[in-house]
Amino acid sequence: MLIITRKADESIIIELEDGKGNIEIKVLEVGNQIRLGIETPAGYKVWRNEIYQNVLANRQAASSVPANLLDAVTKLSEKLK
Amino acid sequence: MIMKYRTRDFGEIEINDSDILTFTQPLFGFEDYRRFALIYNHEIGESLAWLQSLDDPELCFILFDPTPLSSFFRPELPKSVENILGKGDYICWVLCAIPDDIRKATVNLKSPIFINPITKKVAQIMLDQNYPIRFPLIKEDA
Repeated sequence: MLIITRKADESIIIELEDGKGNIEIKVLEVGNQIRLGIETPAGYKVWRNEIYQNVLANRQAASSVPANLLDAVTKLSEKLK
Repeated sequence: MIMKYRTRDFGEIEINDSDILTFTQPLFGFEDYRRFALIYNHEIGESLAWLQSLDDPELCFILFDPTPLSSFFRPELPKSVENILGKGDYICWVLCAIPDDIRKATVNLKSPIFINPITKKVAQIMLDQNYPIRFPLIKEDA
């Protein structure tokens, strides 16, 4: 992990490969909590990590389609009894 | 009014407008999908249900009624939930991820689905409580 020290109003730049632009993360406020400003090229989504972990779980739940879902759910419900 | 909807798993289904569930705080990562219907299978009963998108026939989630987990799973909702779902009692479901090996099925206890059966408003709420996002439904030795 790269560790960088920054003050308020300073920022870091993450340069994306192949001219896809830059991501800028700016420290807006420091204190007990810090406030960050984040700018990305179009098409990039920024998540709070704890939300993102739920996004991944939801995507997994949505794509969890065994060949015969009804059969799988029936078996699952029997196992749970 | 009753409308017909195409679904991947149930073919064409008929849903009464008054039964449509509307996400007022959407599923994380599925912000564009707001309208769903709850579908039960009579042989399975009401411990599991399908949450079928009415906007995309391919999008469907399996929900698990967490009542059997109530010895340790007691979700506490923030008061602000009333602003999202309306006042009243809520029905709690958890999202189920079922891989091909169903013994590895997990449920998301960190962020359950809450339904207000009166307003038909739904939300996925991340609890402050420290519950796992992937809780195994079936014990290893079972």
